[in-house]
Amino acid sequence: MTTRLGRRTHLEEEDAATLKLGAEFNNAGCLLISEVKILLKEKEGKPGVDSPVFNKTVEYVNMFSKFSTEDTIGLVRATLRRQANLTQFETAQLANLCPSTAEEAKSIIPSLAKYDDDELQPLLDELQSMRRFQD
Amino acid sequence: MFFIKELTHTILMHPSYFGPRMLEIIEAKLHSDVQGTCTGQYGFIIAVLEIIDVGPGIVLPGNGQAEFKTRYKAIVFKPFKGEVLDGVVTNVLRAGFFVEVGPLRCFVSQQLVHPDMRFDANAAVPSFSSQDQVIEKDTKVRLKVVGTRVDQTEIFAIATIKEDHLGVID
Repeated sequence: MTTRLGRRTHLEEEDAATLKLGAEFNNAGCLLISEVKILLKEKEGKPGVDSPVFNKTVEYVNMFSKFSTEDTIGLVRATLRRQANLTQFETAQLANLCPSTAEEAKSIIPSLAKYDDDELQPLLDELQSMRRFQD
Repeated sequence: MFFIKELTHTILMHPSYFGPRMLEIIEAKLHSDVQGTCTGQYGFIIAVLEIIDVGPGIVLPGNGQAEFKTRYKAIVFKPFKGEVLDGVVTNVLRAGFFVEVGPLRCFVSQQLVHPDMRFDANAAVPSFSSQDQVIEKDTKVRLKVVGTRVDQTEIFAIATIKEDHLGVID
């Protein structure tokens, strides 16, 4: 019985809703789409990077990047860091999806359910205003 | 989700490359070997950011080739079940529609579309539509991954938009 249980936990399925990302990614650094955009811009045009995967990703990050400058991204990171318990994954999802209400945030990032609406809402408001007032 | 991840890759070098430009050649080979590839374990490797270490380069007994165990940092993209992503619709069929999230292809079955949205066979372009929303080619949608399938060279995802706060975005 114990061995069966043991095996089951070993094969535990990955599930972003409960922040189970598998052994390889549980502690890996998450990147915001906006950060990927800046990193890839430096790579563009260099030899050897030109693959369909690379080009599709460039197209994607240009379309869905929410914050345009490194300064704003720094501010976003700092703001989200103030809520000290957010995991890397939650931080990146909040900044990538920019939900406007606490209810929406909890619905699209289920692991946020442990926070009070009053805790989340000011954070989301701040993200929204940073998005609006960047040049 | 995009990650920054430390990975390793083993490169075999023929003795004819041994010489002053060897490091450059290793670097170029690493880039061409791994960039743009996809594995089930790490997802899509989009770009190599930096090479941390090429290793000592051990000559293999018998054939004279040197084996370099390189360590490098790369941007990878891996989708997870339960993750919410934004994407662009590429193709609409009666059975559902395809969405591209960067390098990842997702399929949203018509069963996982809100029942109000119907496939519109009479429209000029194939689309799903309700009173106030239309999903056709190039529409941006927010979707939730319900499962992934890993092939030898590709990851494919099944997604849903039949939940609150998912669907067409502007």
